[in-house]
Amino acid sequence: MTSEGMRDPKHYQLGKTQFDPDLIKEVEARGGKNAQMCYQCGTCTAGCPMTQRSGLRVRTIMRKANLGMREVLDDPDLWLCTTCYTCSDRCPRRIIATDAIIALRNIATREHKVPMSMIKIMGAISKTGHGVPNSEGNMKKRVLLGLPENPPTTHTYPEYIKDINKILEVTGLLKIREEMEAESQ
Amino acid sequence: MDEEKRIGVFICHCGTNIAGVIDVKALAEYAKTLPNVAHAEDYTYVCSTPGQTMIRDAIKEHNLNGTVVAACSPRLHEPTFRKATEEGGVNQFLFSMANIREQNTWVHMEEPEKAMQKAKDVVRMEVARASMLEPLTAKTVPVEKAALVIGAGIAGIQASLELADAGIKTYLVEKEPSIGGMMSRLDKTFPTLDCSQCILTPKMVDVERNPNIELMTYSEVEDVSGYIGNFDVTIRKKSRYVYEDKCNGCGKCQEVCPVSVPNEFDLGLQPRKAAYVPFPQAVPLKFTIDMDSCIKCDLCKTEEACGDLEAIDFDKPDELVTVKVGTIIVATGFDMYDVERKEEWGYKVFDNVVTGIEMERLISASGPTGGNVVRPSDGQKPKSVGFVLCAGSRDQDEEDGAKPYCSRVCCMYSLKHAHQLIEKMPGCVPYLFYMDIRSFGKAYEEFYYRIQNEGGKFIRGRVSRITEDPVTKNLTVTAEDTLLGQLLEIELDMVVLANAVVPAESTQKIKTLLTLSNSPDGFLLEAHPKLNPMSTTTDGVFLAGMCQAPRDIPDVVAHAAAAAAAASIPIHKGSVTLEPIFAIVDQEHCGGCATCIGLCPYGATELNQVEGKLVASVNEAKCKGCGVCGSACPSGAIKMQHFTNEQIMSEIEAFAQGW
Amino acid sequence: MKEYNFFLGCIAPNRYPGIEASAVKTSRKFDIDLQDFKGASCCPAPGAFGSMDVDAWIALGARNICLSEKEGKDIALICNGCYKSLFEANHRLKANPELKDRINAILANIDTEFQGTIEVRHLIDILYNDVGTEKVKESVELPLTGLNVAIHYGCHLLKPKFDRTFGSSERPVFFDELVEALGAKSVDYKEKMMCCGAGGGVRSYKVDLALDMVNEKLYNMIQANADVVVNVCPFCHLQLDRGQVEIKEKFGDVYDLPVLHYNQLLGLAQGMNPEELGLDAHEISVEPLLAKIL
Repeated sequence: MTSEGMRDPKHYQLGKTQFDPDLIKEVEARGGKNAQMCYQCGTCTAGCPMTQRSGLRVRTIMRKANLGMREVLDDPDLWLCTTCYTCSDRCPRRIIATDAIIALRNIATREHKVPMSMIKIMGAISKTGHGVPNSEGNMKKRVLLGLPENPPTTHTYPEYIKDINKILEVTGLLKIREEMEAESQ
Repeated sequence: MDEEKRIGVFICHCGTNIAGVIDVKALAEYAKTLPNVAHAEDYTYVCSTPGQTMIRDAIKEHNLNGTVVAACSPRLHEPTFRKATEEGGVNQFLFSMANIREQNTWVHMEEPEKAMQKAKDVVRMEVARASMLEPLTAKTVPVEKAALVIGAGIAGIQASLELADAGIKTYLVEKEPSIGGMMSRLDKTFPTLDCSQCILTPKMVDVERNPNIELMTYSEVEDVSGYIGNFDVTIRKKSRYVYEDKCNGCGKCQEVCPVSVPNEFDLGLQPRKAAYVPFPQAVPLKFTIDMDSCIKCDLCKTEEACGDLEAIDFDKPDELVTVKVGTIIVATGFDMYDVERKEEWGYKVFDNVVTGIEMERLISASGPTGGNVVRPSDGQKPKSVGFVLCAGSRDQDEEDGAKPYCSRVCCMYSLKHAHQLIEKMPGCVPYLFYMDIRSFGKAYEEFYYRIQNEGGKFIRGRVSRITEDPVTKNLTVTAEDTLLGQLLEIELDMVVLANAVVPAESTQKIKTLLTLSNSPDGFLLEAHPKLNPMSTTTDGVFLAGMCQAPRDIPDVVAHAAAAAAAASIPIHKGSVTLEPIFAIVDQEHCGGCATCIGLCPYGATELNQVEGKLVASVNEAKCKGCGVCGSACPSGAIKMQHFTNEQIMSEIEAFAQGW
Repeated sequence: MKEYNFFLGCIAPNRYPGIEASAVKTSRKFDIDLQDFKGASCCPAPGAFGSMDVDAWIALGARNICLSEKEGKDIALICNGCYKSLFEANHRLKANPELKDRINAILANIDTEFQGTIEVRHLIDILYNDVGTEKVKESVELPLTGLNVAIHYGCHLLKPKFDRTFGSSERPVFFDELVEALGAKSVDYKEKMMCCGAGGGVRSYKVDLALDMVNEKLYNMIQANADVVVNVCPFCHLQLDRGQVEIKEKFGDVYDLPVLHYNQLLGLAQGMNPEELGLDAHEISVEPLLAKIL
């Protein structure tokens, strides 16, 4: 109850932190082996080349994943990891932190929280079979070297591209791309 | 069986452990239907005092001549129920036990009907076996009034002094030329900052002087045979190429010796001669010639050196001695983790990265720098020193040889080093990079408080990697200050890696000789981690000190005293009772083929001429009843007491009846 | 003649075909036949694609492997990223029956089944372990004496160490030995083992940050007096080569440091001319390098 001149009591309530205990299990199931065993020593962050030049903090991401703070899936810094695996090689608990980050990225993708740059690469693979397809300028370079214009990949044998798209479809990725491209209109 | 068998069956509820899964009353009723069963009942806790009374009373009331208890594992209460049976007037080896808990209700909780059937099967089998058991008498053997202690660091020293002061003749064997172990390398000890040598050397001298201690240094245990009370130990006294009784420790041989090699005692940080004592306070103060480095120049034999005493003889051989002891204590200590394998910290690549024990030698007044802490690269005093805690400990990376356990002493000795640096070199700042500070013991937390008060800096973050400036040889340590959430790259003059303690290489040989086991961490396995950390499952062999687990000096001393107390008990009692579960040879049927001789892992079988015939016999004390000879004997002449073919077959047939 | 299906990936054939050509030519000198791998696709990119769905990443990788399994040939490749995708897919599927069943269920949709019958090798591994530095040295006609080489190992070749065969990733020597077998000198530089910054999808997501990483590496290499950077990954190659052009545009730093894939350097040392190795098609001119050695 408020009276004249007093604040609404809700102003003084912090609100409860929401922990989802299933998040770390999802991360472990998607390849982040041992992720639950992190004891926050900081070896990962200290070895990470992105720490000094960005907001990426591997240890903090592991902390949030372990406690089950789903807000980590919204963290734009989650996508700054170059997957160099330095953290994973040095971790004394043998946690492959990079794979935990990739698992979180996988979960975020299902929630449409993946950067469009990645969706575009999926688009290129879907269309040509290559994430970085051939170009006119490059074809000339190839010919000068005595190579055929196109490599003997899906560029020369486009009949294999439907198989690639089948896999993208069956794993649900094509649908995510469709929906996200529609959302960005 | 001549006499009519009247067996009593007692089914234990074990609270709800058993009764919560199967119908124990129905099981007792079932037991009553079995042949030879004269009485059966169930009870909540048969191992309790009323439960044992129940067994005794039932024997008298129902005139029983055999007992079966269906309960937990025999490893827990077989002795209890055997005693109860004996107290009821029936030979204790007419008792048989059915495990319906660990091997039944505890693992088949989800399938109670099948568990019940299995329980019935097992009770039926044990009743059948009990019907075939024979009374046996436990054998007593005398105990030799002497003990052996292997290893003469502080653990072995403490244990041997306790045994000797209790009046027991003690052989103390040490593989190095001097006793003292790792503790003699330390400068000061935490948390009291006692000078290590000052508190250790009086004990070392006591050992040398004690009339009950026969000290054998530069010696190794080569072979052990026998059993508790009667161990035969062969010890190789390696040749020093010096007659100990002639050497007076004058050191002239060392002065003239031209050969210089790294001194193991100083971890190679300073040299020693080929003719040497490892450190000035060595006990015994007898010189040793390191024949691997000696160039046989004979200078040490000249007039100026040992000429008149004639104590040096390059042809002096090793000596093998055999001693007989009643009990053995293993006190073989530990090694340090080869932290070079953690390439990210640059040990042995960067000059100014050293290990904890190397820093200890640098701080020691008798060390390579006379107690001045200086940088190996340029001999300058460091103004900032980093300490990397948990270097190879609490680490799951087995491929790098790192250890998953905590080494227990490193937090405290790093605090100690920090204190010593601050004290010796005012202005020098120690930085301790830690995950946790484990200062658990008496006055340890106060010590942590003290070092923080004196100016030690603590950064909570494990060091990810160390790099070196190629010109200055300064080190840059990279760690995240996890409390700040900030990356730190700190330039330091020197770094100390508090590397893990690991089980000693040399212990492996002793382990094999004494048929001991390792725990998963690689240290020696104790009889029980909480209630019996100083014994092993090998009767008569005890453990003292770091060989069983990482510990600090107060805990090593307590552990060693516990081992001495345990080791003295059989000696003071004078005799030891052995379970009569051993093999017996029927010499009439023995063909003297010697198959059993080659097979026995304990060397318990012998071949002798008896009345003109070559026959085998079994040394009952050495025999462990493993059954290999019994099953291999082509004539079927070997009987395994308490596990005869008939007894085992009766169990199998009883089981088959269930189908 | 040891035959391999030569897995090309994307960047080598579609941006730096000189890497493709030089690999085929130099391998022939060691009786290694890198053959056309029909129907291969993107590996797929481990960072940019694997971040979206690991099962799809393994399945697409397995598709490539299965094509080679049908021909009974091992796969050889010249890219760290492709190495991660194909070596790990192969390795994980062979070791983990549950994973194999799950992926084969996906592959059943395209009438394919992973058997686990072939090996996936990086060419640098073949050169070091199968051919050996001695034979490499013997094939040299133009020793690269006096050439200071800054070696960039990359990341996916060595890490995670538990899933690779090269041992510790802190101070490896095998690539240095292969370069020194050509007569050149491998120079030590700060942060030699650091990532180039391109991977994980970061180059397409936040190119400035990716470039900041390779910028630091290039600076350190220049400080160490390097004449050339040598790599074993076309993506690192692109980041180092094209990256210098982008760094000049965005940050104004200029290094003019030539960038070569190992097989191109090997080709030069074996006496091949720069054009047939595709060196004239790089963004950063290799003239200073050629001037030093020819």
